[in-house]
Amino acid sequence: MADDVIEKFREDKAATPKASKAKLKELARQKPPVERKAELPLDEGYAKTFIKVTVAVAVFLFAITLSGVLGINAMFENSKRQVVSNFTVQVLPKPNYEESRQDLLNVVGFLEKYPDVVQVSVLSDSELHALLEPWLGGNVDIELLPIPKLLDVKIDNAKGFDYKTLAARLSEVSAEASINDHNLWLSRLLKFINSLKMLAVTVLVLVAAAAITAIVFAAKTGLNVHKEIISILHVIGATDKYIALNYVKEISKMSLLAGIAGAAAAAPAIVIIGDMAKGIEAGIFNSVSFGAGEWLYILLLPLISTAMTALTAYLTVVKTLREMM
Amino acid sequence: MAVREFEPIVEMKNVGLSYGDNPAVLSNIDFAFRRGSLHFLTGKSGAGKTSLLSMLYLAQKPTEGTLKVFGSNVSLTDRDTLAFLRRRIGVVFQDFRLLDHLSVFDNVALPLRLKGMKEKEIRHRVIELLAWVELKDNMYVKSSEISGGEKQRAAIARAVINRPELLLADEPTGNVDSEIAQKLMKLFLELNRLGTTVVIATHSNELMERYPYPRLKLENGALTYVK
Repeated sequence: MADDVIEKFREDKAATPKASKAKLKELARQKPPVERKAELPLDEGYAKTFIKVTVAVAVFLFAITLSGVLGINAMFENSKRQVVSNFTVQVLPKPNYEESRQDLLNVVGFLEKYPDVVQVSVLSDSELHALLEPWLGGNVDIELLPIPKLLDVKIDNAKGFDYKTLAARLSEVSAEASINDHNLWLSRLLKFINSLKMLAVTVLVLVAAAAITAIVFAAKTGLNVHKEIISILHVIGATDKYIALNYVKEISKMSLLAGIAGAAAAAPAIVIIGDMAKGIEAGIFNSVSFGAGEWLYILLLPLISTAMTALTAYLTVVKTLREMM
Repeated sequence: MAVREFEPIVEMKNVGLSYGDNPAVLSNIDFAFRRGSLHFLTGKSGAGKTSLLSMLYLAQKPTEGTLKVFGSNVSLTDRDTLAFLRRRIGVVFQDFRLLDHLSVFDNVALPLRLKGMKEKEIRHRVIELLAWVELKDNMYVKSSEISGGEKQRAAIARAVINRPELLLADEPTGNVDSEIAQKLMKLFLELNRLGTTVVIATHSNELMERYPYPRLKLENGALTYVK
């Protein structure tokens, strides 16, 4: 009886009209009217919203913190460039005016001939007066005070300049002359900036850890919600890698959009903070600069966060699948 | 490993299955399915048919004995290899187990996509099969939105699209009218004629009388062979 059935089946197949076969071929060539959906969908509920918000907030905080670090770095480099290309020489006054004047001329003469020195300028009395005014007031006659003379010295080769040798040779010219090369001030500034950087790195690590935890949680929740789908995919022959990549593809698309939103929200905040820093008009803050290179780092953040999300989700899914089945 | 012609496609030696500390659902099962054979699997509800099938489609490993599928000892096979073995098996579930969020087309295309087949070839194959099971007009409808009979046909189409070497069907004709049931049986018989080993779990005496193939009867977790 079964043979009869098979015979009938063959007849059915053979009897399929040519026109109908052509119609099927034409149908196969047509573009499907509906978009292909992911086999393992993301949970439509709170877990999806949770990931979106977490990634957007993480990228926003990353962008703000990173811009702070980059801005401070630029400020330090600018200040260093300005400061190390000049130094100050202080010449203490002698009891006799003429001796003091001769001493000053000797020091200026020596410095002008010293290798790599390009300019030596003596601060005028009015400039000294302006420097001291905040402390002594405007009514003090500076001529009556034993104020040291200050020399601003500009050098050409700041990097290899040997201050120790200069100090030793200068002391031979004048016992009253001494050098202030800003290195102490710079080292303190560097220490402060390094502390800020450490703080920023800690914030970045904490934000990344929070984002990773959220992604792990959401991925595990999503897999539990879709246990049945996963079990069907396994039975049909899907490998763990196939299922994980399917999930990662979906979560990455969402993470990229959330990351772009976070970076876009951070951009105006960065511009405003930068303008505020410049508005302080306090010397060092004026040198805060945020160029194309720094903006490139910020623009890369959504891609970096997407890569981080993808890797975290992939590892979580593979591990969870092994625990599930 | 290539399966040689004389090797059984499925081989069970003293196979037992139990869940946790509960009494064994299946015990001391010794049987082998020859390549190209067709068997009915019968037994009362709760006899263990579904559990036996789940071991055959490699969703579960036996807790006792040795189960070999396509020559591979299931208990000693790694996860990826098991996945590749599963691709050679077609399964028709009693409750269909379609992916409800996907269209009928995408459900049926799934085994071919897992194999990495080109989309153009997939479209040709799937549309041809869907036309044959009379689901062509509903192929872009979500599988959750079609009737029980249509789901059954979609599930069968998904199981056979890949021309499996082993086809396991759990009550495949339970939710369809007699005309469709005849048509589905025709498909199973044709696949069997082409070399697919077929195991059909059923309660239907009518079906077993109409198609006189060997029967395996599960009773109290033990398997008996009825010619």
